[in-house]
Amino acid sequence: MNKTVKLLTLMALTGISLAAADFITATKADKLDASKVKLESVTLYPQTTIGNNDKEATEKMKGLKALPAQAGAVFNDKEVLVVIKYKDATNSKQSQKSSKLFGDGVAVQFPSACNEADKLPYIGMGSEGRQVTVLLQKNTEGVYPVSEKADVTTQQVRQNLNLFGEDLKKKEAAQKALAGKYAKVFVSEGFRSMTEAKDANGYEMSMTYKSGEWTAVFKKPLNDEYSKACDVLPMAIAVWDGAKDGRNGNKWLSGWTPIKMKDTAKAKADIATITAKSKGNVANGKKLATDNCAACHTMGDIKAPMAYMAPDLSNIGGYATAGYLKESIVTPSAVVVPGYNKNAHPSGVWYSADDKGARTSTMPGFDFLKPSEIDDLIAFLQTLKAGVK
Amino acid sequence: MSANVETSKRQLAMVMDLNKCIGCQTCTVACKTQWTNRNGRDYMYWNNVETFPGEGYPKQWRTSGGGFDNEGNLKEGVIPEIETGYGTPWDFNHEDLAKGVEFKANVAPIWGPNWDEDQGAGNFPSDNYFFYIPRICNHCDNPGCLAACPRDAIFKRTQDGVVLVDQDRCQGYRFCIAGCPYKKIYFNPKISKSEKCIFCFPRIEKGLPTACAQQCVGRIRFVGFLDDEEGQIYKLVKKYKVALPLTPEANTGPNVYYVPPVAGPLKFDTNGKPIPGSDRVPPEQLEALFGKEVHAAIKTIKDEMENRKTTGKSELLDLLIAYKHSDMFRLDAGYYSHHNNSLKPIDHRYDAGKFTSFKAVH
Repeated sequence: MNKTVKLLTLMALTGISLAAADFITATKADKLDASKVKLESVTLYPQTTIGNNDKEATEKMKGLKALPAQAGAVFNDKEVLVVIKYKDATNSKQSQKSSKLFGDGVAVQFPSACNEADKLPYIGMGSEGRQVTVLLQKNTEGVYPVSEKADVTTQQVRQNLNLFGEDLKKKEAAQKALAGKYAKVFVSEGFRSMTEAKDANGYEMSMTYKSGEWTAVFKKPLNDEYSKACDVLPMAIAVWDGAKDGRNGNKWLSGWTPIKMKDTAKAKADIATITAKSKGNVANGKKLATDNCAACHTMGDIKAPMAYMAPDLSNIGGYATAGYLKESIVTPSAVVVPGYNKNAHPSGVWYSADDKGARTSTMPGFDFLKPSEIDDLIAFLQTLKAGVK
Repeated sequence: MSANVETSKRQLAMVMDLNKCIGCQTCTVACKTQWTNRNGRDYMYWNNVETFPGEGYPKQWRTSGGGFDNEGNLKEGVIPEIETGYGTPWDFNHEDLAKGVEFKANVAPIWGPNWDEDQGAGNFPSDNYFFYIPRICNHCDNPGCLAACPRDAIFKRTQDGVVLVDQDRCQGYRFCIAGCPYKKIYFNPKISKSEKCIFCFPRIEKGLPTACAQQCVGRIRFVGFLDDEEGQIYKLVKKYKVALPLTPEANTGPNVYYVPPVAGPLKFDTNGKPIPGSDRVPPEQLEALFGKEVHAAIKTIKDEMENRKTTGKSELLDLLIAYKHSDMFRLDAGYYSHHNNSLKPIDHRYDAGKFTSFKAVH
């Protein structure tokens, strides 16, 4: 046996897999036990579609590699439980005394509807008409409600309480008890529209740090008004590193990762659709991209002449499905990413909106390309992703 | 400013006459007791009075980025840290004094909002100088904080141009802090959301001026609508052009205006004699703060002072003297009760229950 074969055999025996799994198989169990979930490899890629204005955070994110993670799921008739694990050298916590410390964070998102595997919501927190539910948790020292029963007096600083001795101690303890962990459920149709779903019931989250590794657990109802599970439950994972000032777009993101809930032909077909790889010619795709796309889009080493003109596609192969790429090339207005805050970069507006708010992408449709050329283009775009660290 | 910001029907504005500011911090205290005495806000001074020249509050805010370049692109900025940039507030151990312990603060501060108060620059007595700059949120035409927010959590009220943070939408990302060239939006680390000067809108809506303006013992602050041609704000800003925005090159279109310091004592020569025609405050520093228009503004005020001396009359000086404090505020309390101007929460999406009563498409 040569060395490579030995290594592969060893990895097979120890259950380590180099390649990211195409899908996660959920196991069915009456009792949802996070410690018994079978984990598969998933790779998360740096979000580079859109930048931000935090100078220090941008510096810290530069040249970021992909993040290997593991994910698994277990479900019963009522709920589904997801476990995410990944290595992180630092346990970063958002502090109650700092204005610039950020906590590590993990989120999972699910589409509200899963009956059309080729029309999943935009990976960046959904799109109009294709909503997602986001379960987000962050590592904090505790977060207080804005006000308790709209009564800010309960949160006054001690000097203003007019209390002394035992009374003051009692009040301070009561104040402290108000702080809770940061774990929220959101609904979203595009990343600027994310809104907290305060009436979401039956959601549970936890994240624990042990031996340089985060384990995040998310539990949600199998079916509720926010999302439903079909034979396949598509899921996307996001991870924020507080040490890199991670929050919002400063994160790693997985593509839509199918969770196989039922072993059916439909499940198989949906998984194939979601994880499809274009068999096109990458070299020709790169040429087509340089000729057709590079005037606006930055794509790895192909740099757009103007910043802010269009989404940066340098990691698009890491998190977009082939279906989404095709749709975006042929009918760009089908999914319009809100883009930058319209006041931030008025010279590079990504879309126009009519009176009713219907958006038309600034990008024209490239439906004049031959089907084989589109395949080549997709094949090239699917190669655009950072290497694993 | 930018045509992309929804234009407000009217704009509330403030004028501060720096010639009359004595740096007493009464405005700071008025604001603090009214708004920032709550947990997590304790380090914030929505209104602060800083000494110029000086580091400012937060420290070095003038070189911390934010605002827009000339093409309208939001510029990068940094987020100050509480301990080193704003100053950690401290408390004393009053409760334990009866037990005979040493009287001490609970933290050892390394920076604070008035750390370099009254230091100024130059050599005493020949050419030392300083003046005070009270600062609140500028409620800009094109707010850097608003443009930086990836959640559309910051909005500018169409009724009066007041810039507010929707506490429901804010998720504490803090891009707004980097985006504000004045560093006048703050992160509350206890609620994990951004907060800022609200131009005392609950008072304004009842026809009362902001707390900082009401309490100002130097009567330096005028409050009113920028389009009110009979108002002092309009006259000082538009008619006489003696009130100027702070660091206008940030391109946000601030709506707090300053009457620059005009008549200070002259410099002294080595014999202690005043040097005629000398400026203690270097004009180029005033230009750096208020733009090139500052020279014309200073000339206008000096000319009007001369005019007053010779003719006994000057509308501008009457305005600046502000004989009656109540005349400094023109708020049209009835404005907000008109149906068309009624104030609604901005987050119509959440308001309308679209997501809370959300039904997925299956």
